[in-house]
Amino acid sequence: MPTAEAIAVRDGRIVEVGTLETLRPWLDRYEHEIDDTFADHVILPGFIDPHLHPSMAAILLPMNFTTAVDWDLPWSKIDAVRTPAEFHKRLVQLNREMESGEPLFAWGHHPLWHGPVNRQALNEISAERPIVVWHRGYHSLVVNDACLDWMNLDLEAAARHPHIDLDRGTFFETGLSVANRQMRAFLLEPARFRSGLERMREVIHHGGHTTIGDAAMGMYGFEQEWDDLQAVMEQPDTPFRIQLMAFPSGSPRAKLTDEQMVERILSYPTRNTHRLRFSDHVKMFADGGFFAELLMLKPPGHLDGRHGEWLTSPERFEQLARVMWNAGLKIHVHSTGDLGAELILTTLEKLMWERPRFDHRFTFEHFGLSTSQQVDRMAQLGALASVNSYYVHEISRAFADNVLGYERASQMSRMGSLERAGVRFAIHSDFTMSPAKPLFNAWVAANRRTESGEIMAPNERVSLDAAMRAITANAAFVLGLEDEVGSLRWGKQADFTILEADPYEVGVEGLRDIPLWGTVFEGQKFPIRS
Amino acid sequence: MTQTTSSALVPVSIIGGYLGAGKTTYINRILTGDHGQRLAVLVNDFGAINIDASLIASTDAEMVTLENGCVCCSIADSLGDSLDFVLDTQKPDHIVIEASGVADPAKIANYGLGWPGCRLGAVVVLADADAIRNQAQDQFVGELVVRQLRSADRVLLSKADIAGTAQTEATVDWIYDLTGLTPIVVNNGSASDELDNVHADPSILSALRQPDFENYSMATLSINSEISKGGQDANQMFETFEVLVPPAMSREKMEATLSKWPESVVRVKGIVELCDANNSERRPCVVQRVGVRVTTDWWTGVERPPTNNELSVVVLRGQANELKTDIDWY
Repeated sequence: MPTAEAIAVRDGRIVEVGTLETLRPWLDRYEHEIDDTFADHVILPGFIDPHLHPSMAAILLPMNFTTAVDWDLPWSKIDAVRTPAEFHKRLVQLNREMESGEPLFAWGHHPLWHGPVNRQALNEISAERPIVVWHRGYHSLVVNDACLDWMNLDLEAAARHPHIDLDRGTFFETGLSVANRQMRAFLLEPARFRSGLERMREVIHHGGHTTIGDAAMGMYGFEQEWDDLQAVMEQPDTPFRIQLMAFPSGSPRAKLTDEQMVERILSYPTRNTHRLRFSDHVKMFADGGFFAELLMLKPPGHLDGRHGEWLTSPERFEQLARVMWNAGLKIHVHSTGDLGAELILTTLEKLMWERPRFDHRFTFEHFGLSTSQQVDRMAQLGALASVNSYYVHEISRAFADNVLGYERASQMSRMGSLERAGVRFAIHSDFTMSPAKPLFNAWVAANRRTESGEIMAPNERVSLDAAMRAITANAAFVLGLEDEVGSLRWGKQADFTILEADPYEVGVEGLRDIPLWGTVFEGQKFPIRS
Repeated sequence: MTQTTSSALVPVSIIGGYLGAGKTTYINRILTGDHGQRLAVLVNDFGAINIDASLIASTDAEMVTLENGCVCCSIADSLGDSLDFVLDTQKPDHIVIEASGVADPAKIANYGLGWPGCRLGAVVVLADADAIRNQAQDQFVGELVVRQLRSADRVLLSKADIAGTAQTEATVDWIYDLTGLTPIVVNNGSASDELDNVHADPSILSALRQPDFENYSMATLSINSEISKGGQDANQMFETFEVLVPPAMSREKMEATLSKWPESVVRVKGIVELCDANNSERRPCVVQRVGVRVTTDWWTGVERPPTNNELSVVVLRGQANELKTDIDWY
């Protein structure tokens, strides 16, 4: 990677990058000030996470994190809880620290580490305070008696529900929507939601980002989300911009034709503000969630014979993709299993045959399981990938044992193949699926080390260069912002992430441990308060 | 926070089937049918429902009200919200949910089993006589199409007029082999044909009226592997075991025995060899107990099905051992 010693900045943009010597022609002509705050630091292009969900995170962030991995959140460092005893102890402690009456929401329960948790166990922690324990992958929750009262649940109906086990206090699958119905007013209460967004703002800055992508704006209601995002994020002291991706299912009440939907999506940029911007990128969905284990698989399928889920029917997927493609939109597709990837590739091949496009930025999002042959086809078609590398760290071992078997699980998020095939890729967090920490997720991509220290499919590790590009230049490319951010050169936004050490001196092993000083956003310094 | 209080639970039936199976046509038909029921039908694509203007009493962006008292609403942001809405405002006799083409109807049926104010009606799955066997081979949706059919209490075969007689008959056999259910053939030709067919086969609508259908569906669901997909949690509710049927069992004895089994048995199913009435021959027989209702049907397929003479039994967890030791065949 090229290096430099000085950057000239004017009005929030880079004027020139080089040395004080090479900058002379500018310095001689214009009044200037030399700022050596970062003399002993390393300036990188501002980090970019092209795929996370501020609104989903806003619901979760007011909750207490009780997961099997550590979280370094701006307002607290949260240690992992890895055993049933530790989990219980943490809940007891949280209960003790909270005001009386306030419900306790704990997110991150996973039976592999924490064992089963039931209503009785939670009753012992508190008979008065409503307690809700949420599964790490969001697909079930457990409550105590006080919570059943608080939820004002129709107990007779709940007792009959096949996905509610009242004795154990658990709600899962379709039973979850019964629980959500009773708690929604609380979770989406405007003040709570906005305070969640405030926390999200801190999380994004804390990770060293200066640009992020919201990979499906409007999931809880387009206009409400737009208003909330504006109110919280469009502030003079917000040190990042958000590139918003529309998704064509939009509002189900609107009942637009696909062509009307395209028209609407193309009109979104007229509402753009300084930090919140739409362009011509759209989000589509193929198969189900990765943590929820709903990926669609080619043979031999799931280890235990269970089934995945199409989020969009294959016919509808093709139909919608064709309309978006022919309108010239840049399509991003949520893709988790290798059968999902097959559908996406088959569709892209058809569209390319019918109406070839160059530089179409068609992007696989998440890129959970794929084959190396599929990667070759992606290269032929000019597709991109925005990868959740963190899957490898947290769940490849559990997926090897319980979902996919070892061979496939060890090769999830195969970025080494992407690098070799010349497929441009970014790394994302999909926060809170993964921590919003670009250096951490780049470390996973370059090391493929699980949380227990095992290395998964060493061939799929990427070079340090590729890992650093994946959180900067290539992330900008995936969002279509490569002319504005992602590297340090004349004319780009003066967005920097300031590191306490040089990744190229530290090497791939130590990437995740490099401390951040903070960021510069459009020329303005934003230190991270520790 | 809302609470639905209701003394009488409203049955919720599911209409499933892959794209193009004729769900919308069928829904149009039951909405406008002369059945005396006040139906509330929840659909995914409101625009696709095309009802003769003379039958419509009023219409707005989200709901059509018909002269016969039925309503049709779009499933807006969530199915639960839509159920609450029709329960609160319409007081329907029966709610019908259109499952999306890629949904597993068994999964949607859980709303019928547990949403406040509801009980489960029937799970009706439609299939395109001309296309279903190809769809079942499809790389992307084959396994899903088969799963949809297996979750049905009743399979309706549409587009038989397009498929032709030979194709339709072959499809009927294929569905029977797959599900143990004989599909009901309906034509989706002209509008008048459709209505004629409804009247010609009252069982289609009676499926939506029959009060004991809740047991029927409950049982189908519990045997469906889908219910165990919730992992440990769902598996906690039921357990399954196989029971070997003695060789000289007669059909009558089988019915009598199964009828005596306790209510904790939610489902029994299998193809076993039984003696016929004059004890002269052993023939394959489809044996089912759904809820507390037992049915036995002689196998009518051309080829003899493979059978190891075992019945699968789904029982509430913890009850299996007791039942197994208590089985008395004679």
